[in-house]
Amino acid sequence: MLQHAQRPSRPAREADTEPSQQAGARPDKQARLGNAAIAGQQGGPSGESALADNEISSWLGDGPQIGGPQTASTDTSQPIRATAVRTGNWGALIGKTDKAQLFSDATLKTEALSVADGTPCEVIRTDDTTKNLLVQVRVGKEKKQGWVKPDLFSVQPDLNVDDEAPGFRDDFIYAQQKGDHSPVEPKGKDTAQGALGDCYFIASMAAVANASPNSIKDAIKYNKAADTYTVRFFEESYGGAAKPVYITVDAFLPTVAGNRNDPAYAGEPGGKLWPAIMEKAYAQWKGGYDAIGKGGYGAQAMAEITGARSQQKSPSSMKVDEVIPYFEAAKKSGMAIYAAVENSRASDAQTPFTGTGNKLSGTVTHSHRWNHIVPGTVSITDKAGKVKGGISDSGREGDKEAKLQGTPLSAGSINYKTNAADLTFKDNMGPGKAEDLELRFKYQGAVNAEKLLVANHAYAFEGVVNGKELQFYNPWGTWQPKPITPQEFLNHFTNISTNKAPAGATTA
Amino acid sequence: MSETIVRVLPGEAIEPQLRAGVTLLLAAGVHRAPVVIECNVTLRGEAGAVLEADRAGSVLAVEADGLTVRVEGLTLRGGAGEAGGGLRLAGWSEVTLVNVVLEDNEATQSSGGVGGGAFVLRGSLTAEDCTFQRNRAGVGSDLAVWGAARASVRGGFFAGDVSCRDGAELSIVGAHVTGQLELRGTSTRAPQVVLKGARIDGGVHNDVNQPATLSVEDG
Repeated sequence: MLQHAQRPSRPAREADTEPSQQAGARPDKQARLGNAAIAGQQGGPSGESALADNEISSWLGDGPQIGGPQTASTDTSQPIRATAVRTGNWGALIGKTDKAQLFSDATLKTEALSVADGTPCEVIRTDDTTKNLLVQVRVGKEKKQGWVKPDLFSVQPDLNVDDEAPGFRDDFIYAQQKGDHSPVEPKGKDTAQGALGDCYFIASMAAVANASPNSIKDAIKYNKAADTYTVRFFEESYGGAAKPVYITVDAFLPTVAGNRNDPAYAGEPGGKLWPAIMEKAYAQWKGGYDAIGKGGYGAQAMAEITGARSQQKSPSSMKVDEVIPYFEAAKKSGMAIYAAVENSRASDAQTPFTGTGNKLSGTVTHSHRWNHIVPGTVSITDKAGKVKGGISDSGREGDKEAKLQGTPLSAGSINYKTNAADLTFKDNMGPGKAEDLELRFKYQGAVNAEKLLVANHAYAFEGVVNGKELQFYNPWGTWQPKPITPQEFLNHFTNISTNKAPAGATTA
Repeated sequence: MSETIVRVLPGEAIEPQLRAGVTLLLAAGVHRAPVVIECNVTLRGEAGAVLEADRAGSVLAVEADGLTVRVEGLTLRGGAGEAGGGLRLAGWSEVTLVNVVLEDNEATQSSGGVGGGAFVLRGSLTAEDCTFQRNRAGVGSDLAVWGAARASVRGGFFAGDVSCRDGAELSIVGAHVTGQLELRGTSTRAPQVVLKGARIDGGVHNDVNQPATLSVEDG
């Protein structure tokens, strides 16, 4: 599956220029160098976003916190350590040097493997006698196991499943981003989605930051002594009462291969890192980056950030002259506004086929290079009416190719990567001429390339431009859409979620 | 008190007919969705009745609180959204589906989406002898029960996956799930799940680190 919700690449943050990579491909964030290739790199200070030491908790208090690891190290170069480790825990090997040693035996006598400090791992088992841990790490395209001391293990959210390497987690290294990254003047533009399919959460943070920056400021508290952050979310119980929950995380973030200052998921080198801290806390709360990276529900995420219930509205219920007044009123009342673009769009009819006799072939064309056919949506008809019976593809999500099938065909195929289609008709069942065949499909990608709108993606509303157009923010942090007309909004957006933070958290 | 039944023909708008206490009898054929339900109502389908959203949103959505909604003998088809293509229950209401088919719905937002067939975030869903097929989502292709919602499944068939997360409650009795049952709590609470006489072909994936409280009987 092409993951549109992941950013394609990271050019300049404010650039509206088109990234050079296809949607979903993240060469800067997903380079497959393998751990060995980056072993030995030092995790130096980030050098950015060293914010003032303020915002110390007023609500946090001194009592026990709910959720998350309970023990915080007072050594600020160290991550949070768990009080108990058990089989199945995910985390990272984080020590005081640039490498972590794994041993072939539980007594740690024989060195087996050296990996980069911060290498993610899964606990396979613990030794009852030594209390040492057998962990599994990813080394390039291999999984390797070795024993480590328990004090080398830090509980961290498990990484996303690597779509390009089935069976593996993403090949990122946990590295500390030093400094105080708590938000001072949070804005939606601070957010920058990484190599994780959580645009619903990033757009939710952006929408809330735009409408109610104090909701963000109040939600993230820096604990200077421990160099950790406690992030407040809200969870509902049956019937609707929402209560706060507090998740404490450190600033060790997954970073891209080759740059320990470049967060792999939310966050940008040199940019504000409060979104990365909040994303990490959300992942830890919800069960890991993978748990939040396969999609979610923006209305729920905004409610979990602010504690207020979100409202839904379907653009299909709106008339074109209602759009601008709706957004103006919602913004004026302090609503965070989140909107989602259609999943796919129907193509125009194409006549790609050439050839004579029973065998015809052709190549589907796209209006933008990001665009691709949604498997299972292809249909071929004969505008001259000679071919009887429909022809369609048998593809399903994730397929690279599929059969084209139908009563008049003896064989047929379509390749979703090359866009090549081949048809073999039964005798006397083909079209009068190849160009009579019309092919239609649904596509994902840049559903409006002129205005830079991406299918299957969430956006945060920013404002009304000149009283007649809408400006949205792409949580990628790049490929920002141009202002769109109300009609374009109705054409492309399928959902609006609004959320009004409780009084007292609505102004900066 | 007698039941007020209003028969709706294909092509007639449904939402204007929705009034508290009414039963809409949908005639055979394709009826246009999305439909947002904001009152106590019963939707009953004649044989061959289909509610088709044509990817314009969730086929049925219940956002309001305190409602009692019943859907019988209908096919919910072609819904799309980031959560709950066929049905999105996000209000503290009670929705009952009986002999309903949810098919060809999708929740594909954000690299996945949640609950292609149905998404329950709040309130209570009861699904009796329903069929979920050809639905797509990143998580819970057929059914996702998240938040603090409750769902009770009695009988029926799921061609895809079912997900229960956060602090939700899910009971599956006598149903056949060909996909996976994914269970995952948060660090602050766990879903409560009961399986009784249920067949889960794809297995139960109960998260190791944040598992659901799972009770299995006769399964």
